Amino acid sequence: MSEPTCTAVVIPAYNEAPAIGRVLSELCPLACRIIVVDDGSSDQTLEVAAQFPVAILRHSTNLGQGAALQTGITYALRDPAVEIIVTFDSDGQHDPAAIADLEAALRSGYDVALGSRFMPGGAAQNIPWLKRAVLWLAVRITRRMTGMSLTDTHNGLRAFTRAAASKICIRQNGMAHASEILSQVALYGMRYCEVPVNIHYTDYSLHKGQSIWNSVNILWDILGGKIR
Amino acid sequence: MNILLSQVLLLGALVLFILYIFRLRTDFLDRIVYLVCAAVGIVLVIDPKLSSDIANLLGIGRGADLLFYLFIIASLFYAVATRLRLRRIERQITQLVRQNALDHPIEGKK
Repeated sequence: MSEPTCTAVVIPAYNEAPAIGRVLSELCPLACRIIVVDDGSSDQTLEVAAQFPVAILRHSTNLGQGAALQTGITYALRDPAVEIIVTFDSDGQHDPAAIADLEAALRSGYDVALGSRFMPGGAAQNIPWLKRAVLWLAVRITRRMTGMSLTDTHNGLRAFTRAAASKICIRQNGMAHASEILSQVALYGMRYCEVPVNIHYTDYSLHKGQSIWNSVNILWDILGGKIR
Repeated sequence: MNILLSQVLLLGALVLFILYIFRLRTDFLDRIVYLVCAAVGIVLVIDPKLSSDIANLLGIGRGADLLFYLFIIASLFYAVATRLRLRRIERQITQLVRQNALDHPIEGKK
């Protein structure tokens, strides 16, 4: 039961029944543990996910993607065989083949490997110009706030070593967790690198994904997080 | 530019307010602040002229203006206190929901 290195893929899912089946069928041959966190979905997400050899954690109410990630990571860490934890979106915009690249980056000595769609070798297909503009701005702001040199700061595809994942503590339940994770990576002085990934925007993922106006909410959450 | 006594005091109150929300506040102190506000309110209702006298003393034109300034500071205080309470409740709900999810993992088909 104990492989030398085992990768757990954490997939937060909220009302993703139409897409999660395909994602899981592609992922299952590639990862030894898959953890789906059903974030209080009101559709058939749970039933679809249960058709696959995965562990499903169900939030009894919708908390947000950040909270779902933390639940999944906490669960993954309970298994001592898990050495690498990957976060992966459930709407089909990520390419499962990228997981091998992230794992390779961690094996070469990094604590955290972050997917980037904007660095050379990465790609973002069908990305609307407004989304591109907002993400560009988000990268500039995050660079300023964390001092990290990154090309993509809001990418759901990342990998952590066991030690790094144990230190990260996501308190931002909503979408501000992306910035929060980065500030903790900077705070703890973790070795990080970016890995080029291919993001494929479909009509489904664009419709399902967050509206760019949510970036205002994210900024608000980050500032609010400073008040205790 | 003339700096009025009232400006010094109101700025002082705002600085105190910022210090309060970041450093000093506890549930107990919150309640004390609410009680003091209520007591001041009662006194001012009983003796309306008092607010004008205090306002004049501070260099503010009318008592109504003084009350308006105090009202702004009080609403800021209330807004922040409520927001912090909401955040705390949100954190508690998160903990409960997470614990429940972790305690009852569902195994998919092998």
